[in-house]
Amino acid sequence: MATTGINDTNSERRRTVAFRAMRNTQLIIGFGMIGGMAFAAVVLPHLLGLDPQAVEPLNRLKAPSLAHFLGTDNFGRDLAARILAGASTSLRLAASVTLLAAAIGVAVGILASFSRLLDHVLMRICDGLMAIPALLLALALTATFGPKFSNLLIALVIVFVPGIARLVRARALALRSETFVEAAVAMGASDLHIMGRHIFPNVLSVLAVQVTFLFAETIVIEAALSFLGAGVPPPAPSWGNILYDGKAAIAKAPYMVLFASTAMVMTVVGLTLIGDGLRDLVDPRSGSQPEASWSKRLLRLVLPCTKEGA
Amino acid sequence: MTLPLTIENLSISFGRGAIEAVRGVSLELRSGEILALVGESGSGKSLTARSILKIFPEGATVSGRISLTGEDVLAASPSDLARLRGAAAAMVFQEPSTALNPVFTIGWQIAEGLKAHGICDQRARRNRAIELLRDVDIPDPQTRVDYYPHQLSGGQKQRVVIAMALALRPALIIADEPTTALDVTVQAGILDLLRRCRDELGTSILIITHNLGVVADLADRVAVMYQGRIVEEAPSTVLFASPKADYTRRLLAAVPLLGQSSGKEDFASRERLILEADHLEITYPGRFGRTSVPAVKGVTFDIAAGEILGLVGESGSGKSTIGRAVVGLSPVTGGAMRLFGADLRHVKGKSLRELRRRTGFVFQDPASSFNGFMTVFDCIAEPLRVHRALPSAPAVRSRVLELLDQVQLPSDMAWRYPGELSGGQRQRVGLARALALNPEFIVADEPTSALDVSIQAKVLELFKTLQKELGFAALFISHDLAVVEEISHRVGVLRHGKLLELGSAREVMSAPRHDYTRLLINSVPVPDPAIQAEKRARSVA
Repeated sequence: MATTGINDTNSERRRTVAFRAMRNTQLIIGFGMIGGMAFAAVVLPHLLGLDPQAVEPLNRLKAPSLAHFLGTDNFGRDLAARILAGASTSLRLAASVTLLAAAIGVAVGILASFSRLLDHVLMRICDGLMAIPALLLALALTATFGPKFSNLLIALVIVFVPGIARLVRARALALRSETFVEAAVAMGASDLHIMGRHIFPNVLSVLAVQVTFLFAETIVIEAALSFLGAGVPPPAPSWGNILYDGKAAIAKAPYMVLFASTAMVMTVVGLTLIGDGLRDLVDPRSGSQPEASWSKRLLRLVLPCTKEGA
Repeated sequence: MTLPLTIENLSISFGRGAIEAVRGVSLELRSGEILALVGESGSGKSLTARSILKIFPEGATVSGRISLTGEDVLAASPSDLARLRGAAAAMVFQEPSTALNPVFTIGWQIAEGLKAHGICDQRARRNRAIELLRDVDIPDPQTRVDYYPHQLSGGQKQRVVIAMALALRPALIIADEPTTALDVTVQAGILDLLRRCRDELGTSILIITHNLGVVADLADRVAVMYQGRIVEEAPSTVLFASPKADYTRRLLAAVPLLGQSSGKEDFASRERLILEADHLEITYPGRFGRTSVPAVKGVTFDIAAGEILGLVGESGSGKSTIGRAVVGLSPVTGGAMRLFGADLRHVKGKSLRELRRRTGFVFQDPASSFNGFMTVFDCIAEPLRVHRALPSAPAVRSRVLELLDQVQLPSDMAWRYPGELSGGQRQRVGLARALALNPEFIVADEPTSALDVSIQAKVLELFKTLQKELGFAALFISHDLAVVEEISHRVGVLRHGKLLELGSAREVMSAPRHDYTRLLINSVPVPDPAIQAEKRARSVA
């Protein structure tokens, strides 16, 4: 539709959503943390000429200094370079896993809510997959097919799709009995139209929140797999194998574990903040919440229970 | 002697005085008096009532003085407040099913209040609970005391809530829309009960309501609230006979009166039938071994082109189910229902879509019948797009603007979201959406029951005008007899899934043949204290 009116609306809606996003402290801080991390991972290594693979046997396990501002590891490699490269691996993997899992999960969930037969088939498959612990399945797959990025991706997507599908299905089933969906049925709309125009946008609110938490979970699981040696194969850097190397040298160089886990914790906290912020933003009913002062909003970050009914 | 309640110059505002919800309200309630606080949604009546127990929403700034049996409520300490709540004043809420906790027996819940106020002996509490249930006419109170809320009907639940309010013999009962969620026949019983509380126990009652019939039935004195102020206060006989404030006059004029509307002329032409129901049966299938639930049991009626048939009934009568069956939202399980000559039991796919194209549906709750992600424009344009009814985007656009004009909404509203509109505006959008494809038939399922009286009057007027202009036939479903009488050519009365009576609106309302119809008509409180008192005297005798 190319009428001017509709463009007006879209820009207006974008403006209000952007406006509300700017006032959402959690979202801003969360995006700042993740954006900063991604930016640093992409730009800094080039800018500072950092090479995560360069070995300096003379400078092993050195404390932070001007030359290596996060110190060096047990092979004398620059830790800052390795942590940044690890960030890029982790974020890329997590983004691919979440996008794929969300796309498949939404499709499966919405389809299941529209057909009784499909529902039974798809949900039994999901039940079966949910019975397998995520870490074990990923371990088994990478052990069988080799620790590669693509294998890790497939393993994690298989593990995460059932959860998303279940969530989307539950929401979609609830939506199907909403009056506006019945109104669409009563006006003769096709199932496809209802799925696309009514169910999908309204599923987004729960999905957005779930997806950010999934993103965080992927990062943690990837680190765990790499720590166990089933993730990103060394010498390629990842937070998991930095932690593993750091474990052996924890007495002599505790900063290896410290910096790698700080990076991970920061990322996960950032994602959690985004998730909470998105929940407030995407829910169309939360638009008219009274404006709180800066101090109150900061307080809410620490004490989520002070928030009025979500 | 101190009065049970005095409110002096109460003001409540939000957002540092940006929104003034209550502005300088002063009220007095004498012992044994029933005062009605009347107003439409947003008038501040509920806020005023709740402030008596010092219950405020977050962020409220309050000034003024409220004294309850001589004690200042707003200055009271938390422990004094706990004593006052329940003992000096008790509250009866609108929705009895949410006012009771579903996981405890009703006896336990009544006893809880007694325990909080120092009655320690368990047996004494239980006996008192049984006594209270007997007082509010719950049959067989010894057994019912151990019932859970879901085992009682809506009216019985409200009686239990009233029993809880009476538990500590408070001087004042605050009843916030106590009968709004109930059927008329049940409402009459609850109003009688409240009157008995006053007569036998001398309790003062502050009743908050938007229903002027209830006011006329119960109240000694009436205070009318509008935009946070009391615009008029008078004894109810005086207020109804000679309202002084403009707003009161408008309010009274907006109430549809039963048996007084000029009514529609009888509709003679029955040449082309739009909808025929022939021994229609609708049964909701039982799942997991539960028995199936019959909702409609053998109903026969028809609607001719251009005719409006009103269906009246209380909750659970099957009236909405019939409306939903027309567009296939409920299954037809027996008999036959023919829409434009096609049997709804057998149409599928394309032909069903075609039937839906020719039928519009207006839903009860305008708040939930729109997708919050779509603008008003997209909501109204949706049926046009779904059926590809118009060739181009500009054609859709001009049709939507024309529809907005028809339902008397300004065209710039097209770019707003439904959530930003008021209830009445949203229902107009609902009407525009139903009319988008020029349907020959419209199903309106309680289209005005979620609206204020004055808004309801305007929406009904609009519906009538549009019907005259466009000549569509309609199935108009409502629980409100006066509304149905005003709008319909013929009226059908439903009860427990059976059609008890079907005839012209005038016939059914003035000379009902069935006992239930008569009961229904008699239960509707008339907004005139004199007539209402007479009616009450007659029903007692």
